[in-house]
Amino acid sequence: MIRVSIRYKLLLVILTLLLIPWMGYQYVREMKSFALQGQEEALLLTAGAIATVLHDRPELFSPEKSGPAVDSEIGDLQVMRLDHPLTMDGKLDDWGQLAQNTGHYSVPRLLKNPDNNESDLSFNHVLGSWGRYLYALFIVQDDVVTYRDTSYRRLDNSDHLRIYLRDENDKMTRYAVVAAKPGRMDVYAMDEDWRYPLTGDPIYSIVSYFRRLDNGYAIELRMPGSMVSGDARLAIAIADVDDTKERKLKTVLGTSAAKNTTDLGRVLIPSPEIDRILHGLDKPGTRIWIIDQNKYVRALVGDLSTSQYEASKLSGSNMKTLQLWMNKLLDPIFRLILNPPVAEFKDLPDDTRERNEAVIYQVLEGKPATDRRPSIDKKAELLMAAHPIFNNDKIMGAVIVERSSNNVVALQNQLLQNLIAVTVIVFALVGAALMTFAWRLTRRIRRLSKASGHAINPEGRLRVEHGLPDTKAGDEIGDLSRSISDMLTRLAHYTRYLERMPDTLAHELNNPLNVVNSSLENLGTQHPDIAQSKYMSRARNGVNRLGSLLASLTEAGNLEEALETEHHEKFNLNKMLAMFIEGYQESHPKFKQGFITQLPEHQVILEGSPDHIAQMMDKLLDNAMDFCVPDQPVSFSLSVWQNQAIIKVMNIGRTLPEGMEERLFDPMISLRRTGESRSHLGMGLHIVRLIANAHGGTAGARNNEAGNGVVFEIRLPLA
Amino acid sequence: MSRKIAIVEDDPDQRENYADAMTMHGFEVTTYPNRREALKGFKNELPDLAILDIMLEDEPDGGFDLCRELRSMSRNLPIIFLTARDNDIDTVSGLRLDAWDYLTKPVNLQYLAVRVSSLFRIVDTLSARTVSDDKVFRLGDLMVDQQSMSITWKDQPLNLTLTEYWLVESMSRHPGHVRTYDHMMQVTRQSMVERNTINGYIRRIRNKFKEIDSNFDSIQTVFGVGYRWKS
Repeated sequence: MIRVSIRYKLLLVILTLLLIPWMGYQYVREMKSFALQGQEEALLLTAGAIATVLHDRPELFSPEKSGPAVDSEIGDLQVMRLDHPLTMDGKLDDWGQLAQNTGHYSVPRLLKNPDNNESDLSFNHVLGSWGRYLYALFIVQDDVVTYRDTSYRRLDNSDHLRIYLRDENDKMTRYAVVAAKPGRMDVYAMDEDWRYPLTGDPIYSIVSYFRRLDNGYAIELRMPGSMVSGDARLAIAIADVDDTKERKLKTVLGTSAAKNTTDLGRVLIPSPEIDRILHGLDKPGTRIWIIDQNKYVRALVGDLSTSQYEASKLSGSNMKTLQLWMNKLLDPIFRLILNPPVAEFKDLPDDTRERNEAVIYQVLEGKPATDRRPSIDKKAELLMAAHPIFNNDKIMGAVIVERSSNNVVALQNQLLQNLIAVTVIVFALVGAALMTFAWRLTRRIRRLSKASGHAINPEGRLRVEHGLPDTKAGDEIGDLSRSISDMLTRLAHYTRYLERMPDTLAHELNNPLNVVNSSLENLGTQHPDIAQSKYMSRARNGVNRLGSLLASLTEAGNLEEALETEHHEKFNLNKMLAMFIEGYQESHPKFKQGFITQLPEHQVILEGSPDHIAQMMDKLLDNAMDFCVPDQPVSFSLSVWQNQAIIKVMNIGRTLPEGMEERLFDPMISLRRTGESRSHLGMGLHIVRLIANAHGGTAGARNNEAGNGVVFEIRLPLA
Repeated sequence: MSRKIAIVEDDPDQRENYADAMTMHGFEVTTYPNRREALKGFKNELPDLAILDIMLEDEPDGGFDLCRELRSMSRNLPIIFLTARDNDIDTVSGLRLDAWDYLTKPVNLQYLAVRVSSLFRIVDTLSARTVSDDKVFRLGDLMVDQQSMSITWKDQPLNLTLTEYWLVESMSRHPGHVRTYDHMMQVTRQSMVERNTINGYIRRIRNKFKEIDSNFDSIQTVFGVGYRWKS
């Protein structure tokens, strides 16, 4: 049988409490996905709201025409939003970062190369808008810079810039921007062949400036935004003339490669109207993108990384002292389990021109959509919601709202932290409570088990002084204790009854025996002849035997009562035993082989009744002599060990059958063979044990080591 | 004039046997089966000696009660208790019933007669108040009067029963010599005597001496053998 104590079983049961944090974890995870979903929905709502604001306002997306680009050769011009006005001085520094990245925005297309010769011409350009103006910067690589010779009326015989402009009324205008020297340039409206100005008057609304660079030149240009309002189309080209003598046009390189010069590109100006609307919607931690149908970014507000501020605010709020303390304590655990939201992460730059995610395609088909994507550096997860913008049932573009999931992660972490803290506290409390309960329970059960084990002494008598514990408890253990107590009492009564039995029996038998005895006596007195009869003597013999049997039956009972009332005195056991053995030898002259006695030199002081100790020794020696083989002496010794006097009586002879060692001392147990001369009821060793126990000692019997005899050992505590 | 003996015993067979034996020894016997009838008889006429069984019909201590009532009628009436158990003797002694002697069953009728005769002799001596010195011997502080079967210690009389007197007398007659249990059993003149019974007698005797002299230690135990009187 495997022994598992209730304590450990309860401990195992407590382990099932671990399901609670697991459950909590599952719950928090589900909550996270709910929260993310909720946030997505919120984002979608935001996107929808923004889209609603932008519905049916095509002008917001001006000057672009709706509908997809028919010809990829048409170079749409992307205009950057500037945050300050520019000075027309040919210097690049006020363009800031944009001047460095011009190439990124433009792929010049060859418009004209009459001689088909190798071109050394190339340019980068960038367009910007601020206020009512549209700005353009062209950085041209050209090995030979040819200025205008003002003596010519023709304008296409020097390096110049061409502006193809078709206004919203489809009216085509051409402007040539020429420089006679570095500095302010002249602008003229041109004929279809770009040869002669339409009038001699320059156009002043367009301001331009020319500056020489090491390997070419830069042209700054400013024109009123109204020129490209509505659905106006625009293309800009650089015309190159290298030969100052012949002044022949060599190459024309433009932003649009359309063969038909009327197919010009759109001017994609970020709509200030949208910006204004969006700025009202700007929320920390949220980026709002507006894209047009061609997936070009038309507007962008907000900053994702501010959400970290919110996360920290979230985790710092509503913290009680205990929680703070717990969090501090459990920090290693948290760090093991949780991924804290990333404070810094990189995502698409603000000047992103185009968005290409699947969700964009979906939304441009007219369906609101949500998605999640990792940030560019994969450090954070972003939530996206996109909603189309309609204009008369036509899709004009879409709103994309993005937000990092950081605050959801932070929320989840906070919940998990709280969960862990609460779990730890609950676990500790419940565990402690259950352990205490288990400890108390097992202690009570063990106490009861111990007490009930000890409640009955080897003689089967209830030790009243050891009352059972918990008999007053109102629970099941109390019931158990009471029923055991009850059982023990009944058992004790029964044992008592059994013990009293010989006494009672002797009592009841004594009277008829007395009748027989006195009748025999009277018979003998009245009839002396009968008194001499052998039958008379046999009858008397029988009566005497009956009498001695009855006497030995009552002896134990009487002894017990005597022992209870006996006055105890201190005496020297050593001396007493010496006297006893001497007297015993004298009174048993027939036992010729005698006794081997071993007594210590020193005094062995015992507290008790010497008479009863003598009685005990008497029984022990009687017993040893009865079982001793002829001619073998009985050994008798006294020693002191561990504050106990140990009396040993050993005889060579019949060994004890197995299992008799204890039973031997029970009343009416005898190993004597029937038919032996003396009448025995097996009370002798019972009396030995009674006396030993009454002195707080024990009586035991075992076979000797040689296996040819029996040793009786009495241990009595010293005074 | 023959002595009158009252026997109170609930068992008719035993009662009649005692009566027959006592009659044979020349005593005049009246028998009673229970306490009430005995008391009625005693009020009519007091016997010279009473033999009482302790357990009388439905009264477990009927003999004790009867003894008390008898003692209130007469201070010097000899009373012999018949008991079935040794501890009854302790009870008698504990209740200070002034019984003159007690016998444990089974009773040897011969011994009973001896006892009764002895008690009558004591009664006679007490009433005669004659002290014949040849029947008295001294041993230190002990004085034994064989005539009145009485013993004094340091000139103070001891209230010993007949059996106790016999035991002290037996020991003191051979001071320094061990009186074995077997010998002492005969001295008690009872049929069934165990060593414990002897030990009990000696314990009670010692206690009675110690009531007079707490330093009394003249009776020595020879463990496993018997007792001796230390002179």
